[in-house]
Amino acid sequence: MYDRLTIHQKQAFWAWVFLAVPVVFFIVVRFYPTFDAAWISLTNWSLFREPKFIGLANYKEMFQDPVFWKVFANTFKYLALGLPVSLLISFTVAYYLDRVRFMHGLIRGLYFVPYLTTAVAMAWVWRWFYQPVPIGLFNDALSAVGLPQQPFLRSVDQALPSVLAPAIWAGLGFQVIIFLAGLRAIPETYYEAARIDGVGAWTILWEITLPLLKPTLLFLIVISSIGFLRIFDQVYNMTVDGQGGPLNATRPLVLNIYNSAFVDYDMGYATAQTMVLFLVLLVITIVQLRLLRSK
Amino acid sequence: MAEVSIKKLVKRYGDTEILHGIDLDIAHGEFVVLVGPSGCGKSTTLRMLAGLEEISGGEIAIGGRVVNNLEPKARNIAMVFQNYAIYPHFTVYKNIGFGLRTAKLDKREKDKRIREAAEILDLTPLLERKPSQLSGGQRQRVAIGRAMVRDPAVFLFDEPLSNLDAQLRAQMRLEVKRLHRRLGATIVFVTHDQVEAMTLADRIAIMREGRIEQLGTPDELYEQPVNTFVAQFVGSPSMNLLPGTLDADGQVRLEGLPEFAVPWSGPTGAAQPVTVGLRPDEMRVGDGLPGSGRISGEVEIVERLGHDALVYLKAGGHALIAKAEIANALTPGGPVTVTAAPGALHLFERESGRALPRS
Repeated sequence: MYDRLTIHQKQAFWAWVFLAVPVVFFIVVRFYPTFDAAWISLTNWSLFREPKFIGLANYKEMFQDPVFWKVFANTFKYLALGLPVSLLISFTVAYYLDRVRFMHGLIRGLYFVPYLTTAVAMAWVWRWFYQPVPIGLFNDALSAVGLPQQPFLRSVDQALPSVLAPAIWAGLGFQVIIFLAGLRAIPETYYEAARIDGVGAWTILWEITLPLLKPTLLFLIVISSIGFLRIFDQVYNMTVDGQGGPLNATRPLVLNIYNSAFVDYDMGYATAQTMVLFLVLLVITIVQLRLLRSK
Repeated sequence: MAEVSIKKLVKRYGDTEILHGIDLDIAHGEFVVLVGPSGCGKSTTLRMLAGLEEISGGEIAIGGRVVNNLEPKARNIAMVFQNYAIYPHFTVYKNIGFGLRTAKLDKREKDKRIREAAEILDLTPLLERKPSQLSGGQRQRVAIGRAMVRDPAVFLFDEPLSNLDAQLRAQMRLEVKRLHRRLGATIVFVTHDQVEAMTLADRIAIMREGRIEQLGTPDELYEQPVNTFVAQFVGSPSMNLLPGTLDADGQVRLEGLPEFAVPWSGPTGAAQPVTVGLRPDEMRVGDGLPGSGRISGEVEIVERLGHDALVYLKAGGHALIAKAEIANALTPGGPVTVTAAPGALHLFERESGRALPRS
């Protein structure tokens, strides 16, 4: 039977044999929960009662809830602030680190360490950095040079950037490594040819390096956007009682979902928010892929 | 006055000296090829000329001006790279124009130059294409175009044809040659391919291990190689080198081949051991003219090349190559006699490999 198959059919047969395991895994662990969540979002499931279908009531409640819109806006603030700042810093680091030969490996390693550290430990260390004098590192430094103390996590204006900072810092190592790999992949002769043509460093950066880094940039923008839109650990660990305060100033969508699900036990409402987050991530990813794909 | 003048050029990486004092003068409009095996320092020399490598010692002057510490852009040179180095995200037009980015010309003048270069290189219909839509030969022409628009004092070519297939390489060779005639430009061209060197160059510098072994016209290198290295490097297939003696009576004899005895045309002294060089092209299958040196042996392989053939033979314990008429009925394992006319002989000192003067 098998012997009568063509080579192409045999290849297809074995491809499916090996694909079967991940396909089953993805269906059971990824797709089924996703579709199930869509269903739960239409119920009033509270873990203790059987879920009952209530139509779009959860969505209606959500769109009328000022807290939802607040956390929705917060989530995009994390993205709008975190993405450009993190990419700018990591590209600058990678751009110059690429020229450093002395202890290159060690320096690269140092940038990568935060990425390997648990977010919880890091968040608590940063929380301590932000304390007032005489405990907090930053305020100690500010007062040492005669500048006024800052409230940081206790201010509705400064809290969000303060929470974002360690998130950017933690992801920096990963971004730097990816940028370095992208920079290394650009043939040296492109730069040599540019030197002979006598163009300046700025032109080389804008017209040669960055366009050739486009695939790398695309990858990092997509991955990092998803990361910032799903920010949770830092907020949960750096705000009082993990509530994303003060006055919901730092609360992102994921934390709100967590609270709905595991504080209020309102699974239907939590999954409804999750569906919104899912759609937002999907749309943003598709748009970015479209925008940055090379023609 | 020399367009390019290289004096005692030295390159060191740490303690390792890889160029040991090169001297080379290149006249205006001359086409000079640096050729040699990999690691001989030819590319390093070119890159030092371009300003891409520091100069460790010596002096480089271009157009009468010492350029040792000048940036590449200030040297009035243009370079064509082996992998073309044309930018994948620019069109052909923009790639060629990139060479003019910093030129102090108005837009119309730049456009005129780009279109002129494209015309010369047959790129006009391709100006709006991206490099990915071009063949290897077309890409290399774009790279040449980018060099051309800058109207430099010297063109530098770093193995520009090495990435092309054999047929395209032969075609591009002609184009480079034609371009040189048309522009009358000074060109320094690096290659490891002796055929490329022989066909393109006005003069060739054969390099080995950081030194120029011989500098001369293709004919000079072929006719009067200064040592066994040059003798074997130039010409295809390579010159046969056989151990022999130059006797006091002026006869050249080969070890293990007693029937071979040919009078030497140059001065002779006491008998001395020599290396005898015989080009396959100058050896004939058959009895040859009276006075020719005879070598009899056994055919190993016959390579038919169409209108003639190469015979690989074993004689007196040596392996040789000779050219043969295709009509010669030679079979592997069969006997063969080849002859070399007295004038075809090259003699080299056995120890040093240096050529003995011919008269």
